[in-house]
Amino acid sequence: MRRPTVAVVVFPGTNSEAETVDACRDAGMQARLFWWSEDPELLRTFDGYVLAGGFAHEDRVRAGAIAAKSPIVAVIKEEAGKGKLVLGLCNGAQVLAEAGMLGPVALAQNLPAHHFQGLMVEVVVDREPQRCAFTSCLEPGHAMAMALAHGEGRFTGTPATFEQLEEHAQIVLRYAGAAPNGAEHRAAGICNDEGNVLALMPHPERAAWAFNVAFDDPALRGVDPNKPAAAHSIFACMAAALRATEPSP
Amino acid sequence: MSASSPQDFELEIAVDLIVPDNTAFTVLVALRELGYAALERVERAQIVRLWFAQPAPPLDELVAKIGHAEVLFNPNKHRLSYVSSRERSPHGDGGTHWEAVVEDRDDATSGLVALLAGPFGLRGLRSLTRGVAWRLFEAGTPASRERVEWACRELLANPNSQVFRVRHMPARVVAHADEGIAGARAKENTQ
Repeated sequence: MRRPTVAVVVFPGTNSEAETVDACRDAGMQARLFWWSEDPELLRTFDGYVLAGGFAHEDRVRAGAIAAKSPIVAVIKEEAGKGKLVLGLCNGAQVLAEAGMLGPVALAQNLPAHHFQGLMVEVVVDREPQRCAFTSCLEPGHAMAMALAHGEGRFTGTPATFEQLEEHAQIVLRYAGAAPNGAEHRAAGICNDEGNVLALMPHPERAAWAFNVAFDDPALRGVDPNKPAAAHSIFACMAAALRATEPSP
Repeated sequence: MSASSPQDFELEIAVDLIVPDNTAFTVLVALRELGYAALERVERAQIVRLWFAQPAPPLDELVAKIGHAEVLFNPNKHRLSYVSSRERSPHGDGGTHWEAVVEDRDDATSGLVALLAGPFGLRGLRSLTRGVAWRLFEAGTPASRERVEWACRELLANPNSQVFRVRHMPARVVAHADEGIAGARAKENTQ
């Protein structure tokens, strides 16, 4: 079985690339770091893309704003238009939003906190997981612990925009309970209308194995620390979706 | 937080960096990459508009207190300038310096108002808004209004979470907190 190829994009200031590559590889994908200084055209040879977390370009102007204008993101946007999978995690999600890949949705400063927040959160799969490649192998109500770590992670937009997102079931992942960052409709992860692009604010790659989450979950303390935890399934779904789209030999 | 009323006294402050502004430099590079080859310099300032119930405290007192409010201003790296509703022309300074002011649509400022009105002593403060002012220059001359608007649409403002307006830059008084605000009221353009 061919292992799908995935580029984990690194901008100046990205800081979650190592664990993102690990999670992709562990889920059965061939992942490698793709540096901002590489030829963007090389990106076209990959099956999918992950924009990792961090502070691309130091979040200058707005989180993700500068990276969203880069030639790398222009190529990723084109490839997404052809149906390739794109996963944006935290800062990567901010880049996708700034690049307009989610429609008229923005990621704004956390409210009411008004500052960076770092905590473990529970994220729940919404009613139509099959409409998004990254949740398509999960059941509605599936709960995952993830690491929230951002200051500008509040999904926002007009009421009409969020009505449409609800109608199209594009809010595929929600915070269990109130959103710590004040996100509209408790949105933690929003996919595009085609379902091949997911912007996810909390980090699944920082909660992908038992050793990441055992401190918060006593049931995991006696198990193999490398056992996949619930959030690992985001990457497993991505791998499964990529394999499902492989052309027949 | 009480809402401001038309009778309130308005004080607008601008906080510029006196050390190199890396964000402004990043914007310079990014806008050039986006096709604005003639752009030579970008300037940025934090803008805070404060509304005080009348009768407002004396202007010198307010500016002095702002100069000691570390949540807004750090004399080691910032320059503070201001313009009040008593001095402001509705048409700015009438010059050719355009500046864009970008604000978040749903900024929450009640906590900052309470902090400034309480521990930092800004008596009568009722409300405030915050934004970022951007000024662009080509070969030493200010960029046109159309160019500033273009830069906002391309990069400086996100239409899904922010609003921007382009205006003539108001003539501001530069304050020097370490010299005593009242003693340093020379009318000076921040340019």
